[in-house]
Amino acid sequence: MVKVVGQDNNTVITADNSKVLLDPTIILRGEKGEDGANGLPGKDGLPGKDGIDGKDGRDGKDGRDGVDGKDGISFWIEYDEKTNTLTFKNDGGLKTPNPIKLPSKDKGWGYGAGSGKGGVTAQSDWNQTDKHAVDYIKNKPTIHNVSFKIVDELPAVGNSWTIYLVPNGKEGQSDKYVEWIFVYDEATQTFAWEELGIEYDLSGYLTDVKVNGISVVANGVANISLFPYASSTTAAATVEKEVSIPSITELNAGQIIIVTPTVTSTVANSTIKLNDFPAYPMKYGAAAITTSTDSVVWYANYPAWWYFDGESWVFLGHGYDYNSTYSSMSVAEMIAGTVTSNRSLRADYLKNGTYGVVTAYNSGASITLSDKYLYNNTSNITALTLVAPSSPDVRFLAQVNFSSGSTAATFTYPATFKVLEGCDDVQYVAGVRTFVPLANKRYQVFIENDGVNTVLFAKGV
Amino acid sequence: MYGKLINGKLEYASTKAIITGELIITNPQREDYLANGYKEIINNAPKDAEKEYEEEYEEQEDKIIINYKEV
Repeated sequence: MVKVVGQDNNTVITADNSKVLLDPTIILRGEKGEDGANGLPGKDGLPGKDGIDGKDGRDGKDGRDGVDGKDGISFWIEYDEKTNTLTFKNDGGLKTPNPIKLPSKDKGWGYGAGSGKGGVTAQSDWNQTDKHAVDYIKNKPTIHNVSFKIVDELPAVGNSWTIYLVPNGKEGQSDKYVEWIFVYDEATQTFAWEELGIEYDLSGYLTDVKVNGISVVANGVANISLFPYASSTTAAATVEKEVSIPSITELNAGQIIIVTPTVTSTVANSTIKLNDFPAYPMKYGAAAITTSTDSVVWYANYPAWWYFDGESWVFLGHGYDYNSTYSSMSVAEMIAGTVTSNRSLRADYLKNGTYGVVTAYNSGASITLSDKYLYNNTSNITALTLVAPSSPDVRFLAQVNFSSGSTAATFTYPATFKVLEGCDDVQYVAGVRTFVPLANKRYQVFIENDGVNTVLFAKGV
Repeated sequence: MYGKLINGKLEYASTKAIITGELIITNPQREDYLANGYKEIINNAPKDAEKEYEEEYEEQEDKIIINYKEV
C-alpha cells in the first residue's frame, strides 16, 4: 500500500516522499478506510389504542391561609420652618435626596394647602425684572397695543400695530371704512399694505336649484328664467300648439310661460302641449277657445302670458289690444251720431266741439250745407252759392263767413230759406225779404232750422 | 238792364236779386240774368225829347231792343 500525499503533474508523491511517475496503465490503490458511522435508528412503531377512561377522583382539601404581606413604604416631605428647608423622608429606610434650602418667604413663595407634606407653588410677577427671582417670567413676549386710525388715504409708510380705516364712500353707522394694515412680507422682505377681510367664493356651494320645476341655477351658474319663453310655429288650423321650453322639467300648477306664436290660430278648442307633458286645453277666462277667441289668444308675433292651473292653460293676456285699433271718428259721424262702431276721438274735434270746420273755399263755390259746420273764408269772393241740406232736423245749424269785395258778391241761396227780421242788408224783391250783400263788407251768415222753416240770418261789418 | 217780354209787356229784372222757383240770386250778374231767361235791354232812346213816342220792343236772341215810334 502506497500512501499518496501529493501530486505533481504526472508524478505522485508518497508518504515517504518518494515520487512515482504515473503511468496510465498503473492503478494505485489507497489504504483501507475507517469504519462507517452507525446507521440511523429505526422508526417508532404505531401507537396503540386508547385505554378506557378512569373514574373522577375526590375533591382535594382546602389550602392553607396565605401569609400577610409586608407594609408598604411611605414617602413624604417635611418642611422645617426654622431652617426654611424641605427634607425628603420615608419609612422604608430608603436613601433620600439632600434637603432643599428654600428662599425666604418674602421672595414670593407660596405654600400648598395640603397636609403639610405638599409641594410649593410660585406666583409669577409680570413686572419682575430680577432674573434670579423665582417669580421672574422668562422669555416673556413683547405685547404691542393695537390702535385704529381713520385716514382719508393710506400713507406711504404705516405703523405695523395700527389698523388704518379708509372711508369707502358709504354712509350710515357701519361698514363705512376699508381696513388696512402695514405688514412685513417675508417673501419680498418688504413692508406692504394689506386689506383686511375675506372674500368668499360660494360658487361651488349651489350647483342646481329649481323653483317650481324651473331651473334657476344650473351647474353653479345662475339660470334665472322665472318666466320661460318660447315661440311656437304650429300651423293655424292645428289644435295642438306645440311649445318647447327645455328648462321646465316638471309641470306644476302655477307655472307661467310666455309664448309667441308665429302663426295666428284659426281653430277652436286649441291646446298647448309643452315639452312632453300632456296637451292641456287653452282657456280664455273660464271658457274654451272658440273661433272668435282663437286669434285673440294666439296672435302671430304677439307674446302672450299663459298660466297653468293644473288642468288647463289660462290666457293671461298680451301686449296687443287686438280690438282697440280704432279708426278716428269723423266729424260727420260725430254730427250724425249714428255710428255704433268703436272710434277714437280726436283732440282737435273735442277742441272744436262737434262743429266741422271748412277753413277755406273758393270764390264761386257751391256749398252744400252740413249740420254743425262752419264754412269760413277770409279772402274776398265774387260769388257763393248755398245748397240746402237734405232733411235738416230741428237742431240744424251752419255758419258761413265770407267777405264781399269791391263788387258786391253774388250770393245765392235756396228760395226756401226765410230771411229773419233783423238780418242786415235786406232788400224786398218781388215782395220777398232778401239778403243782398253789399260790397266791401264781411258777413257771418247763420242758417238754422226750427223744425218748420230753414231760416237765414246775416250780420255784416 | 235786363228784362223779359211777357205777353208783349216788358218786365224789368231786379238789380238786387233774381228769384226763381228754387233760388234767390242776389247781386246777379249778366250770366245770371241770361241763365234765368232775362235778356239785356238795349234802349234806343229818342233824341228829341219834345216829341211824343210810343215804345216798340224788338226781341232778339240775346237782347231786347226798345225802339221809339213817333206818334
